[in-house]
Amino acid sequence: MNCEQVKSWLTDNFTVTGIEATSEIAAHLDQCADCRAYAGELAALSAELTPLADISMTAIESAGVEAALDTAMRTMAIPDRRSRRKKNLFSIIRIATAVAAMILIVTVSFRTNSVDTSYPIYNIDDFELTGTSVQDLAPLFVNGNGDLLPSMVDQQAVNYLTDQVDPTQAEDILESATSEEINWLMKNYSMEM
Amino acid sequence: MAPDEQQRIQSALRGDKESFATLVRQYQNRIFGFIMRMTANRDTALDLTQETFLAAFQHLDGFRGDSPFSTWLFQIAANKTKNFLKRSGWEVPLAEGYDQPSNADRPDYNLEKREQQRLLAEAITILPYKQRLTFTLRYFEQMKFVEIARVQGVSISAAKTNFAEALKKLQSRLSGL
Repeated sequence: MNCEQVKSWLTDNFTVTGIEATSEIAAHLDQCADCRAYAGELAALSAELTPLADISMTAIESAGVEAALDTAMRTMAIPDRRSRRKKNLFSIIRIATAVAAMILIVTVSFRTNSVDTSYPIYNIDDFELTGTSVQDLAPLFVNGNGDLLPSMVDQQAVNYLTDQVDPTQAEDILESATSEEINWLMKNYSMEM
Repeated sequence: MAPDEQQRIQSALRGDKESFATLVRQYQNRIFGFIMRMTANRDTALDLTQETFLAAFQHLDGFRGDSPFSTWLFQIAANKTKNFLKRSGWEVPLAEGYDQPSNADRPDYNLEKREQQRLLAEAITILPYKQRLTFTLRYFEQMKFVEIARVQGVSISAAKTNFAEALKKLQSRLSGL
């Protein structure tokens, strides 16, 4: 291993519990003053960060969180996966209708304006053409686990969506998205179709 | 995933709220610590910890078990935190309320240490969001890069780059503290 690889390894393995060097790394450090100095800098930083390592709730705070959760949970039930699936089926049908409408709109737009090849801009309200609300479109892009659907495989799309998506509040995503953002998503989704 | 943890999740899915409460007790300090380091505010961290577990409870049936339960929880906590920061215009009240109440009675906990902790917290909270998130998950939570990449929705190499960048900035900011 050369110095660059050793430093990269040291960086990647720098955690609060310290770095456990492999025999190969240890042997390199024995012989290389520069890398040894870098390991020393990391150790010094680790020592400086010590006051932040041990953060915990007090017993009172912990009891407060548990009590608040308990109260909140009493009024709700854990969703049943099977009933959600059934509900999702209806959502999927509605969403499929909305997507079909969008593709139609896109196709018509492209055909009527052959000079401008950019993706047409739509207002959020356009999504209500089929009676499907913006919120209903959210599951197109994320599932209940917050993961992207397989159709969104492009890394750029993944990065983009991750910046926008709260896995626990999928319904809020498109509501707060700008029309341009939604257009971008729809464009990518349509391309996958 | 540990078999007893899997069992608790299954029990909770069948409606056993006590099983979920056990999961809360198991992870609440880690989630709280993570949010504290991200927001540097104790009250905010308590609120967001509560919100994280409530969301986890509501969406437990969406947990597929293809990643550790802790990763799933951190993913929720990270999004709660991000939403909070977004709402606050990405501004965090620097190290306000960071003080650990239990430290107040400690004889070795003086003003100097308190100030040092504040400066440390500040150094972390002024890192760009992605670097702060990566650094906190990797350094303090010792999460694997593959899991960090999953939480952030970026590639593993991007997660490693974020970590290295954060490290570089912290080294330059903290030298001399």
